[in-house]
Amino acid sequence: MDYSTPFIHLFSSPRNNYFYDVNKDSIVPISLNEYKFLEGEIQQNTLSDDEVKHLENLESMGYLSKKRFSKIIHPATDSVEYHVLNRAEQLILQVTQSCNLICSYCPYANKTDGVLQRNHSSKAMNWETAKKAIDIFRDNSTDTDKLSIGFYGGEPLIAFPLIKKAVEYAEKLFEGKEINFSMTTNGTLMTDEIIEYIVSHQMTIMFSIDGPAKIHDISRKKADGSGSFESAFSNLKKLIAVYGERYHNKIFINMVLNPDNNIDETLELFDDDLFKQYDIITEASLAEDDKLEKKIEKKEAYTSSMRYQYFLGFLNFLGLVDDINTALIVRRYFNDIERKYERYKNKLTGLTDVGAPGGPCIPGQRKLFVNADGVYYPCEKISELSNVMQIGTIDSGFDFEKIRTLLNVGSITSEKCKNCYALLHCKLCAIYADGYDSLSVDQKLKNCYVTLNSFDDELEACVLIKECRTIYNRERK
Amino acid sequence: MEKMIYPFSNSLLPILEAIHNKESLNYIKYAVTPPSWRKHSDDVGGDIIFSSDYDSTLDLVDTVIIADFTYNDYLYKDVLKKMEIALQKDKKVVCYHSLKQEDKTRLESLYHESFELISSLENETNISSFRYTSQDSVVIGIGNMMNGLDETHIIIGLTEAYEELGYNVASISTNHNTRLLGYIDFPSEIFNDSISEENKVLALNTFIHEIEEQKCPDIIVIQFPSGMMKYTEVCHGGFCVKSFMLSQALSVDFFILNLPCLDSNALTYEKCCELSRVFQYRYDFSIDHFCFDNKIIDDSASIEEEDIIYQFIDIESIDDLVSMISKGSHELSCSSTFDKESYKLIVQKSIEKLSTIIEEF
Repeated sequence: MDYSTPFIHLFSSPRNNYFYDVNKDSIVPISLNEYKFLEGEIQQNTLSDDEVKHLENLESMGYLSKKRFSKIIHPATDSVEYHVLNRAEQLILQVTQSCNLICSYCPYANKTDGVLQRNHSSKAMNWETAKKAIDIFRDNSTDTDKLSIGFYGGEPLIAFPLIKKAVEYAEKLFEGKEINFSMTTNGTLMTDEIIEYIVSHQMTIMFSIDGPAKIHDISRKKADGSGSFESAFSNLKKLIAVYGERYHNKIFINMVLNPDNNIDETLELFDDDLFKQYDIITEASLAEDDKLEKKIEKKEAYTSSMRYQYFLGFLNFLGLVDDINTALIVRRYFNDIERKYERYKNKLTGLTDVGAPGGPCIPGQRKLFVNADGVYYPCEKISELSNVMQIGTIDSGFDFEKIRTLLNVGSITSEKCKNCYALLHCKLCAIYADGYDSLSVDQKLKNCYVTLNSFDDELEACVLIKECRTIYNRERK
Repeated sequence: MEKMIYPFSNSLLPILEAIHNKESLNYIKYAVTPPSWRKHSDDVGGDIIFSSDYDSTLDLVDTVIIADFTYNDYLYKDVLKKMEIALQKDKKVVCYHSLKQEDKTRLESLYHESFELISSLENETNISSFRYTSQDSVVIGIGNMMNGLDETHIIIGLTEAYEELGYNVASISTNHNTRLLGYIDFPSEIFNDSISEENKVLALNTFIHEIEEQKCPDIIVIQFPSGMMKYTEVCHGGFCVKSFMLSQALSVDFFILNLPCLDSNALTYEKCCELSRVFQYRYDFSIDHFCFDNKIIDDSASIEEEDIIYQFIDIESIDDLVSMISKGSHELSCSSTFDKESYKLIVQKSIEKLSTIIEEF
């Protein structure tokens, strides 16, 4: 047997040893000796006959293959035009660059003197630009049945008249198709008229609320320095009341976690009666600091508090302890992990000769972000100062060569990616390699830890689920 | 009387062309799509005038035909609104899409003279007994390899070619809009009935038998109701259960498989023979002819979206593929779904195979 450099990743749980097979995209339990052999720590002649047979069987079933991609090329490279011009899914319009709040972690709040990201400004999208963008979206989405138009800012409600015009125009234009309108808002400018409009057009709203007042108001302040929680939260309650039973999947909360804040105090938000009455989907994430000059430091207290919340979540998820609720801020993780666990049961037949890491979507097809000046970007998370991330304009159309470049971000680190065990689960897209004038190898490699840490966690979680449902379950019985 | 059809989609094109060729009283001059659907190029559809402006086209016609469409809530509401606009302007509306009971009742009571609902139930054969009967007619089966392909061109092409030779043909189609051509609706509702799977097979068999009794066809051309191979475990397309059930309900004498365009290396004679053997084991009939649709599977998008995603290609590309395959093996019978001349050859091939069964004129 020759197991030199099979494309696998070895890892262990407290109870067992495993390898993740990249070609089969599956997890295989092995003995300690097999683990040491595959690691190169012991020789083949120290394996038992059963262990030798086991490895031979695995090899005959396609496991332990050395196969890797010979070239890193995204499979959609040749059909980019087709996807972008026929299967567009989501349009995001930057209706304004202005905001009525100054949030401490906001990259637009002059944090880098306009070096890494643009600043807030009074610039607003005009109707001609918005209409043209919607018309182009219509032309490029003929093969898509479910569509979405999002409104972005600054604070999009500052441009509510434009939003109204865009919604009513799009509803007529997309007659017969399912079209959803969405917006992320700080919620402070929501009037009764706006609430009625949102509900009558079934818009999806993401409220930015970082915690109860004492936490939220630390970071999210109005221009006069006062906190914004009271107005935001009361508007959230009003909107839910008007939506009634249809609120679910229409109203979300986006919670930005600041490691300087106490997590337990942050979670006190959910003690409010509102959350006892309504199951509001909440997404929580650490403040992003890639567009900030001063990076956010993860403090030990924050890390241990979050780990504890995940620990409680696991106890609940695995049914090991009764009467434990999973905190809303980690619930999404557990919704996803079951799906990922099921995924490892479906085995691949092997890697193709040519392929790419799984991170990037097709720029302009999955999402098209149009800024106030009518410039195209792949999504709203980019820096608008980045040249490499501009994929066209309203007037000149798409730059398909640039789109292909962003799609093939894996090719800039091809040797590293070809040998990376997390390549099928890579989360890195071109944003992580944004060198502003070109894609940056250094930047991408620095961000590899994002994917590797996340994938290692995922493997450990799936193995924990399996062990709890088998080994531990038998022992409990 | 000028007529328009709404909402027009690609699957209607062969039907409208067939109507025009027959110079039928059902002649439809205008085809209107919802504004967000694909605009058609000028070189298809012959005399049909395409538009996405419903209101302007309404002024030019007397009758609006509402085509059957893949249901979604948004399109249903849009179509309902458009029907009412037409009826309020004293146009005749003939609706081929099934309506909710309350909408049907309301429109019939308000506009009973100008509104007509052609429900698939009107074509339904009364299934009075569940007892297996073998077919006397020759059965020509047409199936899609996977969900999302369209065999409408094939069933229309074959029906016309058999009829040109003087055969009496009963065509049973899963595309409800072929009722415009007088075809019989496939009874998909049987699959939703709360009867056992065995009785569903018998119900399908009884349905075919009763068509034979009513129409005494020489030939039955029937479309299979679902894809016949699953793409992956996740994109399973119903696991081909409906097609399997139909295959047990009748005896297919000649079968045409509609496939997406594949790499010509994937379509060797040996691989097609192997596929035909698989069909023999699974469905009790082999594949006599391969037709290629103008779609290719987008593998990466399909895996990502957990559904079969196709890309459309030029019809000329299919001809190139067919030429390449034919050069590789003359024994492999294949053609483009859009090649109208090829249906005469397919019919000839079926007659050669079944010459002991069909009396030649």
